[in-house]
Amino acid sequence: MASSVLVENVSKVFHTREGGLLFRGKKRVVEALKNVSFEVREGEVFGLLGPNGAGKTTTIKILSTLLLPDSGDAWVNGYHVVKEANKVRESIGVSLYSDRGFYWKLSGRENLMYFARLYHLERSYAKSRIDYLLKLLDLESDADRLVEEYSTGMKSKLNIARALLQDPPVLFLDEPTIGLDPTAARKVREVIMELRGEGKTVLLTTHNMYEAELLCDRVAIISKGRVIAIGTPGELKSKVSEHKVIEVELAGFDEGLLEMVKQGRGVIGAAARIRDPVSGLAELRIVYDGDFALKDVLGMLLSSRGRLISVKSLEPTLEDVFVTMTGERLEAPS
Amino acid sequence: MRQGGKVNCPSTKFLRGFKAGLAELRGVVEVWFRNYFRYPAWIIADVVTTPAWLILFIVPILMFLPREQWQDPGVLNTMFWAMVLWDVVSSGIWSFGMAIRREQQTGTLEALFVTNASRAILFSGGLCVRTVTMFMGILYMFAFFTAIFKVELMLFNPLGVLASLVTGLVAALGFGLIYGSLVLRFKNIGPLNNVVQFILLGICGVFVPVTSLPSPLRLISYTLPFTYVADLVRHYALGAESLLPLMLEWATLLTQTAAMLILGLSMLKQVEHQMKYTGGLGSY
Ligand SMILES: Nc1ncnc2c1ncn2[C@@H]1O[C@H](COP(=O)(O)OP(=O)(O)OP(=O)(O)O)[C@@H](O)[C@H]1O
Ligand SMILES: [Mg+2]
Repeated sequence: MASSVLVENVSKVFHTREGGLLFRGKKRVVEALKNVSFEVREGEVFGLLGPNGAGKTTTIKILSTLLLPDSGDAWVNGYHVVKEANKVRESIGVSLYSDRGFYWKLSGRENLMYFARLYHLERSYAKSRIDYLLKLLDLESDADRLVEEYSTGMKSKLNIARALLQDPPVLFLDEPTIGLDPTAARKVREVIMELRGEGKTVLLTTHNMYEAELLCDRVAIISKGRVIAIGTPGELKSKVSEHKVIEVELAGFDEGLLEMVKQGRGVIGAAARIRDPVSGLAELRIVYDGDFALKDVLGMLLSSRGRLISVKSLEPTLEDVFVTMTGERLEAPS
Repeated sequence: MRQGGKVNCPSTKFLRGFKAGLAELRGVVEVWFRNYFRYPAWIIADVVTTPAWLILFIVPILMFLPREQWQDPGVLNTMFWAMVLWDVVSSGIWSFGMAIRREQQTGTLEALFVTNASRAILFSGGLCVRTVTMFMGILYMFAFFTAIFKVELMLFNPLGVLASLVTGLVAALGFGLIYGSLVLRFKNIGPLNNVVQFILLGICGVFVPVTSLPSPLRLISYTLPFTYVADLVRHYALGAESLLPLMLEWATLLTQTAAMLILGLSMLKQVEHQMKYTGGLGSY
């Protein structure tokens, strides 16, 4: 199968300054991407899965020609993202996660019409395309209201409609379902599946592993600017499917405890998510092998200063791949 | 994929580019006017502040003029045309910067930059709205000078004046692109433009003839297109003698205008590239 998106050893560093006024503020170097390589095949829904700050949006921006890589190469639809940026822009639809990005004093329809003009769509085609997209995303009844009155979810959907305007073969969707209620999120997922049915290539980012599992043919797990695993959700899960997983709720958590658990016999990986910093309420996810490990781990938890609230035994998921590989958790799955 | 195959023939390519540019321009004009007319306060502010601005500007000048010059139609006419020119040039200079700043604030810059639309056209929207204020300003000035000073305005060659003013506007757009690039790069550069505009129009002999400037300054004046615009406007409107032979003056003006535009466009392109490198495109 031909590749729609090909990324080879792309790195990106941001040079910024921290706070301060005028020219003060410490210099800071952020390595957003480190030698990232992956391939998205034609007609595939491909997910970039990673926690906040992993470099997902940066990757999307580089592929959309909004950012220039420091090194490495990338091709979209066969065109080089730096040397043939115009061709790349003709081949893609982009929806970046943002609460802004529209003209608030224009209606949703007017906004789409403007971008249709910028994409050089013929007027009558543009009109019917916009009607179609508004319907597709359940925005018909709000199409003629000003965007300033739109809810977050409506703006997100309008953003996706805009990405689909020129009916491009490749779509980049940054966090397409973030901030959506379950109905709207389902709608957007349906649209993505429909696009897949039409043979479009979709590259989406998410930090929701359920979504990645549900939608994506293949997933790249990305952490701190590096791709740490690529495969179908099944392949990735098979890395942990032999293991067992528990999720422990605990008050009075401290990092020392986590380190101790990680060292425990039979423990493959463990990571914590702090739910309430004041009481030290945390959720520990522990991936382990063998029954003796469970006994050890529970022993450690019981003898710690923390108060054990609940213990759940779970099926391994993509998150556990992440936990075992990075010792960190993904964002809270909703 | 977009419809249509490879374009090989240069004239088809040009025609296509032209049509695309036209579509972009239409979109931009529509968006800006819709937006303008959906803020009633904006329009009212323009209607009210334009004359206020004029009064602030003209009254002090007149206070320093000896009484007899007040009534001198020549002086008043020079002043009228200077004000018109000021209005036209400032419209051109501000337009792009204003538009870019607005896109930064609405957060639409990245969405615009994933299209292949011409960057210059994308940001020409400021000019549309500015044109409304520009005509409003000219009308107000006309009313001021005829009703208050009872001066008969001179306009010997309307076409000549129009041509000079339009060229002046285009040259100002060149400067506008440079200013716009600075806005794209540094976001909020506030009143810098105001100051530059004063100096620029000052040394270009809009208010006082260039010939009365000290010679080092005059050398700078000759390299700036507005010098010739001001001179040509006076020539066509008031019948004043031109600085250079007409043909030569026009040739100089057009060359400088083209140079300004090219410089402005290449600077905008360069800044876009730089912002894509640093990642500052989406910030404001
Ligand atoms: N324009 C920028 N200037 C400076 N640093 C940036 C810029 N854009 C991104 N970064 C940094 O690059 C890193 C990766 O950011 P990126 O936005 O790609 O993360 P992400 O995976 O999309 O995260 P999230 O899930 O929170 O959206 C972060 O550390 C971020 O602070
Ligand atoms: Mg992101």
